[in-house]
Amino acid sequence: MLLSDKIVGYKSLSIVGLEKNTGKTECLNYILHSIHKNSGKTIAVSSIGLDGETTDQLMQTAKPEINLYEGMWFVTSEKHYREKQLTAIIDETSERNSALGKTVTARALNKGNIILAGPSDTAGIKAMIARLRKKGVDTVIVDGALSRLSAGAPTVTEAMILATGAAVSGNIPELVYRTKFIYDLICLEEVDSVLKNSLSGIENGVYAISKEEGENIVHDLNIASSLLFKKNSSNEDIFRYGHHLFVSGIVGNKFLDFLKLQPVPVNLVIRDFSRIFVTPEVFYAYLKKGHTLQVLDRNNLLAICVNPQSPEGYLLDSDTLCDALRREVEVPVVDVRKIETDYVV
Amino acid sequence: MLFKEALSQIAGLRYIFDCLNIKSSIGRYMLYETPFSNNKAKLEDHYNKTLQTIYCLWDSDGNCRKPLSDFCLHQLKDIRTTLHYLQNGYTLGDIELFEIKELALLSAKIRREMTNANLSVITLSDLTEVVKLLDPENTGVSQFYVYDAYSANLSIVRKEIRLNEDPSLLPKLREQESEIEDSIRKDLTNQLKEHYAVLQDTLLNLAQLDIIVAKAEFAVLNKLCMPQIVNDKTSYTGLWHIEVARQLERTALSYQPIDIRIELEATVVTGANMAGKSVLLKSLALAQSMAQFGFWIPAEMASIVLVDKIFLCIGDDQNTQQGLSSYAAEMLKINKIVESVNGGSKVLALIDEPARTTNPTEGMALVNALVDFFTENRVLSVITTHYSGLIAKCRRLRVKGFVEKRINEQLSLKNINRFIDYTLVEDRTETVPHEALHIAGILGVDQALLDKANKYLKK
Repeated sequence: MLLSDKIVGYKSLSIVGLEKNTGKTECLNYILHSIHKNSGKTIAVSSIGLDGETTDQLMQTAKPEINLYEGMWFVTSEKHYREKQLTAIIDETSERNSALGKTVTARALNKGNIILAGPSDTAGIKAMIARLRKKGVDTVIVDGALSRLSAGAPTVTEAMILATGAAVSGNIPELVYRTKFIYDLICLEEVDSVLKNSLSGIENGVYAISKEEGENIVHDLNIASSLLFKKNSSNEDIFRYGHHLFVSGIVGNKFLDFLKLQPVPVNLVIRDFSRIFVTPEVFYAYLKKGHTLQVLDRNNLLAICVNPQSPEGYLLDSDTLCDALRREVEVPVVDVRKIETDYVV
Repeated sequence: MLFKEALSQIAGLRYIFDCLNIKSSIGRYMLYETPFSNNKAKLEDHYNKTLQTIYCLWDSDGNCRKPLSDFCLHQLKDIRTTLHYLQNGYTLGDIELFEIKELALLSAKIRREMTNANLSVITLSDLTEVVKLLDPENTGVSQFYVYDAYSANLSIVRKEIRLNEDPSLLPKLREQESEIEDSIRKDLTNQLKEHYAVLQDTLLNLAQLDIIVAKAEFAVLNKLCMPQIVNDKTSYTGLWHIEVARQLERTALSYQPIDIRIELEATVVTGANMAGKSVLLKSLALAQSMAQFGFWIPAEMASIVLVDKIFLCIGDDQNTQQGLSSYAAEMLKINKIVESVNGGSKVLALIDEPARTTNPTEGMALVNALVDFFTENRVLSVITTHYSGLIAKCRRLRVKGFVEKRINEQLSLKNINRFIDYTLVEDRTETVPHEALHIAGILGVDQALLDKANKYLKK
C-alpha cells in the first residue's frame, strides 16, 4: 500500500516536528505531491498558526512554500490569501479577526504556492476539521507549527506523521536516539477498552485504579495535578489503593522520577503521548525498573519523515540516517527530499 | 442614552440582553447603538413589527410555524469595513468581493423566506444586479474568484499556466494573470460602487431583522405584552420583573405580578420590610426602559407615558469611591432629578426610601418637600418610605404585606415570601404599617432583644 493511500484512509492527519526545521513543510509537500499523483481523494491542508513562510520567522532561514494542486482545499489567513501564488476560489471567510485577519477557506483551481496560517488552538483546529469534512473533504492535513506536539494528540487528529532531521542533531546516533524516544512515547500501549471507558470522562487530577471482583474502581487521590504533587507534604500515601495510577493532565520529570523509585512495579496511565513532558533518561530509567506506562488513546503513527539537511546548512547522509532509524522503529522512514519516490508502507 | 449605556444603569436589562437570541454580531452591535427613544410613532412602529413577526412566525399556541434558522441570520456577517472600502473607492480584493456576493445571495434568500412567511417588517432591495456582476457563470453559490468568464484573455493565460511545463515561464504568466485579474477587480469595484447605498441598507436592514426576530421570540417565550403609549398616566396590570421571577423559579418560588397606576404626581408606597418595594421600583424602571428601547413589556397590560429620562435611586449604589457617604450620594442624585425637572425634562423618578440614612425628623421633612416638588411639577414619580407623618399632597399606596394565614404552612425563613401579599392598595392614612419587629422575629433575631424593643415601643 502506498503511503499516500494510507493517509487518505484517515479523516485527519497531523504532521508533527521534533524540532523547528525538521522539514515538516517538505514532508507536507511530499505528501501532497504523492496524493495528487496517486489518489483521487479530496484533501484539505491547514496549519496550527503560521507556517509555510518563505523565510522562517524565528531563524530567518529560507523555507520552502507549500505546493498545492488543483482541487485541494486550504485554510489560511486573509493576509496570506492575498499573497497566494495560485488561482483559488473562496468558499468561506470567518468573521472573527485574528492578528493576521480573517480566516479564508478556499479551493485551488490550479497548481501553485501558498503560505498556511490556520487556527492557532486545538479547539479551533478540531472545529476546522469538522467544517471541512462537511464540505466533502476526505482528509484534512494539519501542519503543526514549531515543535508543538499537541496537533498530534489523538483527540485532534486521527493519524500523524513525525518529522525529524538534522535540525534535531548533527550527530546521527543522537538524532536517532531522540527520534526513537518520541517514537516510543507515541507508540505507548493503549489500555483495554473497559478501563478506557471508566477513565475517559475524567478531566483532571490524579487517580488510583484498583480491581475489586474484576471491576475497575477509580479512586480520586485529591491531587489537582501531578505537577502539584510533593512527596513529603502529603500525609496520605498515594499508593493507598495500589500502584495502578491514572494522571489525566500532564506528567513531568519529577513525578515520573518519584514513581521510578518505588519498590513495587507502578502502572501509570496517561491520556495520550502529548501529555508527558519527560527526558529520555527518566523515561527509560522508569521502564527499566520494571514499571509500565500506558495511554488512553494512542495515535496512528503512519511514517517518520526525515530531513537530512540542517538549517545551518550541513547535510547528513540520507541512506545512513534512514537505515539507522529503520533499525529502531517499525514504521516507514521517508526521505522527503526524494519527492518522486513512492514509499510503500 | 444608548442601549449599551443603559445595560449598566438599569438593573435587569443586561439579563434581557443575554436572553435575546440575536444571531449576528452586527445585530448585537446595532442593538447596542439603539438610542433611548421618546418618539411615539417610532416606538409604536417597533411594537407593531414585533406583533407582525409574532403573527407571521408563531401560531396562537406559541409554537413556531417554521424554524427560525430558515432565515439564515446566523450567516450574516459584519462587512461594514468592506462596504466602507467600496464607498471610498478602494479597489476590492477577492475576499471583499466574496463578502459582497455572500451578502447579496443571503439577502435574496432571506427575501424569499420573508415572502413565504408573509413577513414585511423590513424591505430588502433587489440585488440581482450585484449577484449578476459577481456570478458571471451563474452558479448561484456563494463562492468567488475572478472567474474565467470575465475575460477571454484571462481564460487563455490560465490555460497556459495549467499546461506550462517550464518553471522559468511561470512568473511571467502569473504576472499576466494577476494584471488581468486586477483590472477586472477594478472594473467590478467601479460597477459595484453604484450599488453601495443599497448594499449598506441591506446590511443594516438584515441586522434590524435579526433584532426584530429576536425580540419577537423573546416576547413569545416570556409572554410579554405590547405596550400602549399614552399621555396622562402609566398603568400596568400584572407587571413582573423577568430576572427576579426567573431567580425565584429556580428556588421553586413564584413571582406575584402586581397592578399599579402612576399619575403625573408623587405616588408614595408604604409597606412592611420584605414587601417587595425595591423590586417594584426596579420593575417600573425596567419596564419603562424596555418600552422606550422598543421592547414589549413583562406585564398583562401596559399603558406607558413616555419620558426623557429614568431616574432609579435605590440607595445601594453609594458612591464610596468618591468618598461620599450614602446620604451625600443620595442627596446629589436627588438633586440631579430636581435639576432635570427644573430644566424642563419629562422624567420618571423612582426613589427607594429617600433620606433613610439621616435623622427621622429632618428626613421626614425632606421626603415631604420632595413629594411636594413632584406633585407641583406633575412628575411621574414613585417614592417608597417607612416614615409616618407624610402630610404633603400625594397618592398613597400600601403593599398589603405580611398575611399570617395566607398559606397553610409552618412559617419559616424559607417560605416567608409566600406569606406576603404583594398587592398594592390605596391608602388614606398617614401612618405606615408597623411590622418591623414582627418580621425580625420571623427572621430569628434574638427574642430578648426584640422584647426590649417592644418595651421601648410602648413607652
